[in-house]
Amino acid sequence: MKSKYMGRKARLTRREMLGTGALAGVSVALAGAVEAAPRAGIPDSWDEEVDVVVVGTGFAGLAAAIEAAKAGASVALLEKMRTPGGNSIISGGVIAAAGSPMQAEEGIEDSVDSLYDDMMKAGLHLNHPKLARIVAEKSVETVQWTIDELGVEYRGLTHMGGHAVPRSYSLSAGSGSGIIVPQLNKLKEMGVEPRTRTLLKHLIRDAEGRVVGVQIHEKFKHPNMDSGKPKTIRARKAVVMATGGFGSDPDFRMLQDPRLGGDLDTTNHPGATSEALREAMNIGCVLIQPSWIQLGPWTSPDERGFGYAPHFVQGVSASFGLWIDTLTGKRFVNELADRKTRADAILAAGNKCIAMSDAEGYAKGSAGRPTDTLDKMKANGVLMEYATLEDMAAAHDIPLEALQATIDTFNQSVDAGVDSDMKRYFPNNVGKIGTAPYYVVRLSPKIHHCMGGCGINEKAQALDVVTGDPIPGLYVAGEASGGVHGASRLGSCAYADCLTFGRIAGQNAAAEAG
Amino acid sequence: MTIPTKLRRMFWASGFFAVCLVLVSICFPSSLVGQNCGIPGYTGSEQICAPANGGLGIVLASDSGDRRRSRQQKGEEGHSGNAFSVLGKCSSCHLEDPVLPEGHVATVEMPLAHCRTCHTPKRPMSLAGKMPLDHKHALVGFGCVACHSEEAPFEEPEMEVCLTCHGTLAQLAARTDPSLHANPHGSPHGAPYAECTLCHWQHEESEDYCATCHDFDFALP
Repeated sequence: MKSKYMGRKARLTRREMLGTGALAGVSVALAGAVEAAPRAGIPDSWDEEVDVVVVGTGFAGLAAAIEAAKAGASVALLEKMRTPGGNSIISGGVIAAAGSPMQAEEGIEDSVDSLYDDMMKAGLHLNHPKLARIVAEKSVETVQWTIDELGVEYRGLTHMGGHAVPRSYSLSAGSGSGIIVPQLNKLKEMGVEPRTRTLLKHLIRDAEGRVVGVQIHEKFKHPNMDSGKPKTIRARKAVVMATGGFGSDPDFRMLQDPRLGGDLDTTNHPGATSEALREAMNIGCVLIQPSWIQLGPWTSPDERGFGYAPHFVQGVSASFGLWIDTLTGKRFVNELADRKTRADAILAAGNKCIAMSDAEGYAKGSAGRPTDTLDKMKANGVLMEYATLEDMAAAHDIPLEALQATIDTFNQSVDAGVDSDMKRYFPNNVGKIGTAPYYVVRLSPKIHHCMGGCGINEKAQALDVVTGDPIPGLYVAGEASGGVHGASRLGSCAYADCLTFGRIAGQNAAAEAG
Repeated sequence: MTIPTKLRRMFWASGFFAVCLVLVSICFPSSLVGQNCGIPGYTGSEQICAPANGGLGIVLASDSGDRRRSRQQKGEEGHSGNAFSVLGKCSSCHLEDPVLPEGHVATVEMPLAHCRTCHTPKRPMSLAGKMPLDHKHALVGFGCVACHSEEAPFEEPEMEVCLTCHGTLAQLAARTDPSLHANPHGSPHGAPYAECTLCHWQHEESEDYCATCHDFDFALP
């Protein structure tokens, strides 16, 4: 049976995304009578009242809900999909922390300034400095919070591309569920459970400009924007919007970057669509830097989505193997460069590149991973194994002589302790390449993260498009906000951003006068 | 001789299964001891047991399910009845619409156990994905109130209702076909990705939620 997917295959039409008009049960003030983008007015009576409404159940939304509930606020936690966690729960499982206890154990020197500098450099200095600095400054505190308050478990440090040193805590769970599930458990203890299949339809702003509540659709069925039953919730203190990015929304993507159309695959879950951001704009939020949409460089055309490939391409090949342009047999980028640099390089090389390692490199890079990962990747067709370098070159049409020369140069670099070719960081246990069998994953970048979003200040307050001042009663955190990462986000910095600003948003929302 | 519908339903809902259970326990004496229901050709492990009170029909071993299920099995009126007016009689609802392939054996009065003598689970002839799950439940005698309340509103039941019969998530993961290269009941994305209703729907076609991101292509019931 081929099931009918409701994911990326069911593209949202522009009409569906924009909605079709005002809904029953809400009196509508039509500003300028633009029927295609109605603002919801204040209802005659609210169906429900709480202190804080949190929209979205990824890292940011759950962190906001935890902090708001901890401060004594009543919380309505909304999730439009059938399952909580958004992109966070399916993400790669690494969080940056500069100057951490685990780094100290391994003798790695690091600092807040170093992380901040790395973020700014990768972000082409388009990052809003105050926001980026908050993430860097609070990175250790945030990781410690997940350990102390949530009981999250980590298995070690990983060196992510664009970071000066290994500083990313890797979750034992191997995916974002290692934080999301403890967050959900914590919330359950506090009496807060996500209301799944609940769509944010409208943010409701009063005459003074304050966001005072939301209109939602219960029993929403993604991706039908008209499905579900309308209901209103008054937020006595504030609304926190943590609705994520728009990586799975080709129409909105193409509005921001016309090159990123519907044919491109994405690592995002099918609910990563733009309707909440559109509504935020509709009530006067300012969208900043939305054209900066990141492609992940470690994905494969031989499987859909994030898949297995990054485990090998980033975890193994980037530190212990090589990335090769099959046309030339040469390396074409520092395998540990930031994501934008690497994705751009793959595309510039004609999108015909591979990541490879030998058997020893595989063993080093996959230490601590489930032992059946290799078999799964082979069974899935994403990872190919070759008995000799000649077989590998033939299978991928790589000029053998050039390939051998590339490997010889790399091995000399290993002996010298410095990567003469690309200046790549060498871990202590980096080794020469030459032990069969050889492993290959083909490379093809996929849409991964939206750097742009609602403009916010250091308190996570949304900024008004007309005045530039904070919009009272509205906080935005996580991928739905913009500015922290500038042109390109470093790996493992989304966790730090989402959890840090999610907590800030939740604390400040709960502290508002009710 | 015409038997009133209600009487026939009572017959099938109670006596037939009692006979089946007796026959099964004779033919497969060990099968009722463990979790397996002992239906020939059926490899699942739903807890289908004879009630302790000596009554007839299928009830659950758990306390929470007993009351509803045994009443349902008595064929009481309203929503407590089975979905089929006559077990396996497609035309009860589908009228003249052909829902079975041409030449299919007559299904009237056939319980799921008998369907499975040909449609062996996890084999090419499996019924997985070929009919709505509420039909399968009805064919083993579980109608609306087995999962829903007796009166409106008929909300989506909690996952515990499913697990009462189907076992814990860990048990489900252990039962899942080991030849698959990913276990849909043991996702690395954690328990939220093992919510039954993420994939298995009763009243419309089930959906492979994993396939929104992966190429797994599970043949799910």
